[in-house]
Amino acid sequence: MIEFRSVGFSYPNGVRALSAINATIQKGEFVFIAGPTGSGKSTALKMIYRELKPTFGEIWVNGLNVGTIPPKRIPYLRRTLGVVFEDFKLLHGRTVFQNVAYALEVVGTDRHEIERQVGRALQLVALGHKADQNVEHLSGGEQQRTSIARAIVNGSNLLIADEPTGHLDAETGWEIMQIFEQINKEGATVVVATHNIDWIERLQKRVIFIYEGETIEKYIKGANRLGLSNSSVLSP
Amino acid sequence: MASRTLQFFLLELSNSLKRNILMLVASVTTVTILVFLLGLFLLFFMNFQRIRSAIASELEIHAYLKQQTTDDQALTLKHHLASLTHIRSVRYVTRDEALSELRKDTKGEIDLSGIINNPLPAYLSIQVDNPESIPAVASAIQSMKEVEQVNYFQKIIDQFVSLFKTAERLFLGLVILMLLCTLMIIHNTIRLCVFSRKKEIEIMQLVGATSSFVRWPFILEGAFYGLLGATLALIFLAPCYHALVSEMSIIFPILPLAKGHELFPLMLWLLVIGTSVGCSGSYLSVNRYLHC
Repeated sequence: MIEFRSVGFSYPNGVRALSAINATIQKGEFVFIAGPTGSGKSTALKMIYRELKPTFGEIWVNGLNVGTIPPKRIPYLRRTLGVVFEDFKLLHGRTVFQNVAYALEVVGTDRHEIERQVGRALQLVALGHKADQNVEHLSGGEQQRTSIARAIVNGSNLLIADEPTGHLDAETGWEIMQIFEQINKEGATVVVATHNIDWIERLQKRVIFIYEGETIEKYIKGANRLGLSNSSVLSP
Repeated sequence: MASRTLQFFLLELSNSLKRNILMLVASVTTVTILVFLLGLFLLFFMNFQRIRSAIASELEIHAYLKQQTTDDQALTLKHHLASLTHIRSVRYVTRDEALSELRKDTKGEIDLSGIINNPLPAYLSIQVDNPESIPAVASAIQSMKEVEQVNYFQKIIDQFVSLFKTAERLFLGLVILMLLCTLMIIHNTIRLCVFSRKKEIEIMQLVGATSSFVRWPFILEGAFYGLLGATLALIFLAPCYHALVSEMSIIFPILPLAKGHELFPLMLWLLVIGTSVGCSGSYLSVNRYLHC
């Protein structure tokens, strides 16, 4: 489903964020991409949905080399996956329904079908009763759930979340992680970038570590303690 | 564009106008003021050109014919001249008519009763399409064998042409400057509106919206700002101009000022300018934030 083949990325100012990452994520998997802040987790995810283009190497998503697709095709790639952001990235001044429906409006979905699919997605994240509320009036957890509903509403089988609990308290964060687990159980591939070792310990999923400097010790110890023998440790 | 998508864009426009009411007010006010000022300039320019044309239409070339020229020859010459370029009309004035005109013009102030043999020559009174072509037309007529002398008040016409050319260039320069200022200020105002929503544009693209899907609601919004602003400008401009023309008509009744339906093309142009600047301003501004 997702394959990183010797992928590296450097910013235009020459700062290297990632070098020679190799990793494979299978269909239906739930995978954490872990590592300390600044280790390149978000960079790796941004390359999956082509917000960033790899400086070298190849990234294959659903059989498509995303590094080579022309800019005009990027929207079509993004329609095949859902992305959840740390800062929610909701359209302000709009309701929960309108935010979730936007992902379907861009593909010209019929109005009745939009109502049906948005209703289903909101039920899954337990927000059906807040469909008509303006997103600015929601709590952080509810806003993130709206963001998850938007990511899954188009029926895509790949969900990418970049530090989805970074702005939330521990309890709300755990609720969000449980929603991801539920989505994964229903068949979708879920990739979550996090620097929070608690989620990794509690959910017991495969972890791809991206580390920098001495912080690797903490993650290797964590992985060993958890018995995550199939997890990868990637050097930036 | 599918009707479903168009319906969504119109809904987006309606919601966006409600959400960004301050931006709406700022943009529409800017467009209204600038289109109003541009409209004033264009009205002055338009009337200036009308006055110039009216004066120009009064300017005539008199081609005095040789004594031995018969009426038939004069009429043949008249028809020939009427077919030439730059000549708008030709009137043949016989010797008797020339004397009658002289009597009428002098209004009895000069005693002409002693004239037994009419000394005045017959002539052709020629009007041209624009004052600049008078010297060339006069020179061409002078070379014709039936013509004794050509008179066209060269000095006055040269001064008139020079004065109006200078004034026209100055006016045109001001109109172009005003138009550029209008375009730039409206464009910058809309750019600010779009800038305030650049995060929204980024999010739309992240959920799979194509550039055109993101762009269209903004273009429609820009068009709406432009059209509404220009319409308001016309609503203010019309009574101001009407009051001005009424005053001017009392003081200078002979001035051929534009009125009524003559103003429709200008009004239409102002609406087109307002709307297209709104559209192009939005288009260019949104493009700055579109990454794919």
